Amino acid sequence: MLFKRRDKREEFERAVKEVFPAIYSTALRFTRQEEDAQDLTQETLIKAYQAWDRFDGRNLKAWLLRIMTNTYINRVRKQKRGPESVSLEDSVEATNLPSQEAPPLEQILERVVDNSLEEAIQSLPDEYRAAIVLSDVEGLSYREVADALGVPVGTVRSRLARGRAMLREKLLDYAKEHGIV
Amino acid sequence: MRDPNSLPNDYEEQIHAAVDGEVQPEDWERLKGQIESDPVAQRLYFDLVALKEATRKSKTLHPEKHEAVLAACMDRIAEIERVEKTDALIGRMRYALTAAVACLLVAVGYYNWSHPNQSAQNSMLPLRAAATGAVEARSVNTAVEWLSRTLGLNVQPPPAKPILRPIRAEVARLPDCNLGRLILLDTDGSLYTYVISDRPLFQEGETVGDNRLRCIRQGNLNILYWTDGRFYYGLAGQCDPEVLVELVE
Repeated sequence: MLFKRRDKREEFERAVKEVFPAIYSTALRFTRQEEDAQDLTQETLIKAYQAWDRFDGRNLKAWLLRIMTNTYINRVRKQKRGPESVSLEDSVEATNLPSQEAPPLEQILERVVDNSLEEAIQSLPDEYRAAIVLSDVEGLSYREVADALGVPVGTVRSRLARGRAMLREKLLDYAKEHGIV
Repeated sequence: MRDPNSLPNDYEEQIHAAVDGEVQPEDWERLKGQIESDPVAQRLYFDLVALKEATRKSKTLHPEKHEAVLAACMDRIAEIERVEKTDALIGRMRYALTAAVACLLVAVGYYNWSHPNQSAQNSMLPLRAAATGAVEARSVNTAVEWLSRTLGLNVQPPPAKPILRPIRAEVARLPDCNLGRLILLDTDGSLYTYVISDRPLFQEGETVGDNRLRCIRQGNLNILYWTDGRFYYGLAGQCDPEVLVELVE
């Protein structure tokens, strides 16, 4: 029994090790605090280990990210005391397209320093940040992002559109501030 | 007429989906034609391609800490497994304990019957508390929270030293009182039971407000008990009373 458990732990650790950079980086991007990210990662892995026998073996990263996102959403809900005031809701802000006079984003991205895109992502509101991190950074499909966030695919589409619009605006502001444009 | 710098939301979302490879091939053909003939859509499309590419290349954060964080997670998992094993052992021992407590109840009943003068000093509550089927709480704090809710008052968790780690929490309703019960484990592997009640636990006539520590012995178990004037607390363990006193801050 003892050896069986140790074998299971070792198998789990071996599998998780390969996707751990994505898991921990996502936790950092979600929480924006190292200590919180470590807590979130730990809670995620404990839940995953307890459900390890039920994992279908197909996409470990997507499975772990789904557990992590659920855990994170529940934490945010708890912190805000009750589902009514959860920030992971859709806002009704309209997206702003860049004016045709602004330089193409590709030119801006070529000239911004490494951390500015990361900072722009981390400054997004929770719901948009989560969608962009899962879809754009970690490469999850719309269906996988929707499963992780517990929302319909249509909501993922609109969150990505709004989130990216905010991201573009932030990068443009950064470029203006630093005299890039 | 459309604002030259805006696109209908649905159309814009389709362009995002196209960049993400989330449109059907037949929709893509139609969309491609629209994008090619619409400068606003074209600009959005190429901006999104650039943004997505840059985001995809986002670097892994704090790679130097990954090994330590993963190791800490695995240690925690191993620790949880150890506690679960202890829990299972306690679960298996419960039946044996219940039988032993039943025998003890009979013995104490007989003793009280044959020593009527002392019966008032030896309440049966601790034994009944041990024997009563309890509801297992989902987390360690649940027993304390449950008791707080039941009594409508703020019951505090055990004032014990940090070496005592709660591994199980239970709540029980007796006919004349409510009990919260925590099973605590110290670093040597010894088990202790911490009981919180809204009624006197161990002796009749405890004076409300008298917060002195007292101790009684039952079999090989010493039970330290006290009251803060509102609730009654007990810490039981198979050790000397001095050890129990030392454990309670």
